[in-house]
Amino acid sequence: MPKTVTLTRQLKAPAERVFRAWTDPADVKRWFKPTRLIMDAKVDGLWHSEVEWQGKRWPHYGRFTRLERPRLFEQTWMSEATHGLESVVRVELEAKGGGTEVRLTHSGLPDDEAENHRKGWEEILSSLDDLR
Amino acid sequence: MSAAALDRSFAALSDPTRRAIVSRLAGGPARVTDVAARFPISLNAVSKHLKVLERAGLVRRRRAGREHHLELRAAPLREIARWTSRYERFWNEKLDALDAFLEEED
Repeated sequence: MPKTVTLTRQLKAPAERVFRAWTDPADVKRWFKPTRLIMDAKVDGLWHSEVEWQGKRWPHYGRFTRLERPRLFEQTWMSEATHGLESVVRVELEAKGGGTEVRLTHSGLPDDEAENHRKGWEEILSSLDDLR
Repeated sequence: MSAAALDRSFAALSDPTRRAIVSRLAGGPARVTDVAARFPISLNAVSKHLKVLERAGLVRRRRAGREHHLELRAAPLREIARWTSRYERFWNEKLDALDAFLEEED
């Protein structure tokens, strides 16, 4: 069963600035901190980045599928962690509270090894919301 | 949460009886005897499972007179929930970095 990860963040910067931080390679290098980066930020443009994370190098590959400046972009995303599956990262930017609300949706992810435990945890975690 | 603490939590939850105990306690605190009554194993066996959960910091035991009450500690479970998805953690860190990058520029 593929799964989806969704995160939402409120940032102070305007959407245009946030969009540029994600799509301008010079900016991406400064915060995403890839050890390698090739990025052609246009529809059907390819990208490759390698990030060091948890003591390991993770090469990633993909293609931009949507660029709707400054409110949305979407790229396919493939790495060892997706087990070769082509997952999709969509970032939506919405002007909110004098800044930007970032909504990141990473879909089409495979169940990873931690997910093997998920069945047992599901009932536990679903009860967590009731806890004070 | 340290790696060792996380390991203990994962190990503690790798057993179906212990998961069932945690699940029961997620509904609210309970007496040891009431929890034990739900399982077709001896009170002694249940006690052993409880000790593992207590050591992992997932369950706290309180004495009220002769009764022992059990309650769930939510914090470590939330921490574990965050670990259930590698990419969730990855993106959380990256969004922290993006936030810091944009703030710095201000």
